[in-house]
Amino acid sequence: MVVSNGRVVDRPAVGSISFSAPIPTDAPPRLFVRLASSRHESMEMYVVINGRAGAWTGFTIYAPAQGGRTLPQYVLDYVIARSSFRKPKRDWVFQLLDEKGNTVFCDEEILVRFSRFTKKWTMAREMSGNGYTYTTFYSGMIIEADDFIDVTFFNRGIVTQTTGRLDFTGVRIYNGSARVFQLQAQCGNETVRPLGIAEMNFCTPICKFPLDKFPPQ
Amino acid sequence: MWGLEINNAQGVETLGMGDFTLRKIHEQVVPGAASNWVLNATINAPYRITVPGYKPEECIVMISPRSYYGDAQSSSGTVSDLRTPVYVDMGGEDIGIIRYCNEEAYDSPNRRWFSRWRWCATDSVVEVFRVYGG
Repeated sequence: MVVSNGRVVDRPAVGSISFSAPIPTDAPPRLFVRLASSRHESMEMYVVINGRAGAWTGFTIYAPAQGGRTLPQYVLDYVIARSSFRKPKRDWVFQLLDEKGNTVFCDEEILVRFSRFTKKWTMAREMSGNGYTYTTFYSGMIIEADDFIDVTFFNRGIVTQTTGRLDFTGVRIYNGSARVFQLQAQCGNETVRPLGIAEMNFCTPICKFPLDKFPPQ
Repeated sequence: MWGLEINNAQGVETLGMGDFTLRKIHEQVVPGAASNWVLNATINAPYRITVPGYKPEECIVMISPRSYYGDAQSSSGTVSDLRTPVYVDMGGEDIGIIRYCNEEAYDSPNRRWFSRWRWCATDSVVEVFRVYGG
């Protein structure tokens, strides 16, 4: 996969980025984010990769704020990564092709090195004082300050977050001023418990990117 | 010391021996599925994919939505929105894509738990990678 990077400032808790050119892959490009700063001590969000299969055009992040009267302002560093598809621009290049003749690597592009993956998750439910049930899925991953989390999958969450009378789902990357990687579902005053969590797998990469090496788009 | 290292015009290493540790061995689209809740029952019906060379301890499976809801979540509509599947290992080279949710809910007037399930998965792209070494 190949990257470019930039910085998105999220003032009213909606931040949007357009790619310099549509990405023509079937699978969506992978979006990695890292919280750079926050006025709140927590951040939850969900993600829209804009466009469609074969023409991905950008992304939008929605982020509410938990508690307090301060307007949220989250600043995220992001890296967008895609499968290689470009034909090289130069005459002399180092190139790898797959068995169909598609370019899978070109030396003009920088590869993403996946470092860690989530797989097994645990779950806990908690009742809030105001009649809501929160279901939290824990990745078990310790997130370091320079870790980027892949949030491409998180539009409306994963199937096991579908609970009765569901209100909202989110991915939480910051909690109590600590970096975390959790999924959340909030539902109104109904007591539910999702089944099959112990058998369930869900893989997402967590990577470190030397940002100075990646060209802004 | 031996190996392969490719640098771009800026002198940044773009390909090195550390990059030969992960290989995509499978990619396919898995159709979504939707239904209302089915009460007093659970379902066990993974969408089975056989991937030659798949080993649970050496491979990772990444599942992404193939289309996204472009609007903000709303509390009234969210429960009907479709979500990203998860997967289970089914033994051998078989992966089971889970496109439904099973759960128990509490029926407080009757003071009992009851089960229910629904299809709730968006169209997705499943990518399987094999990890070498490291």
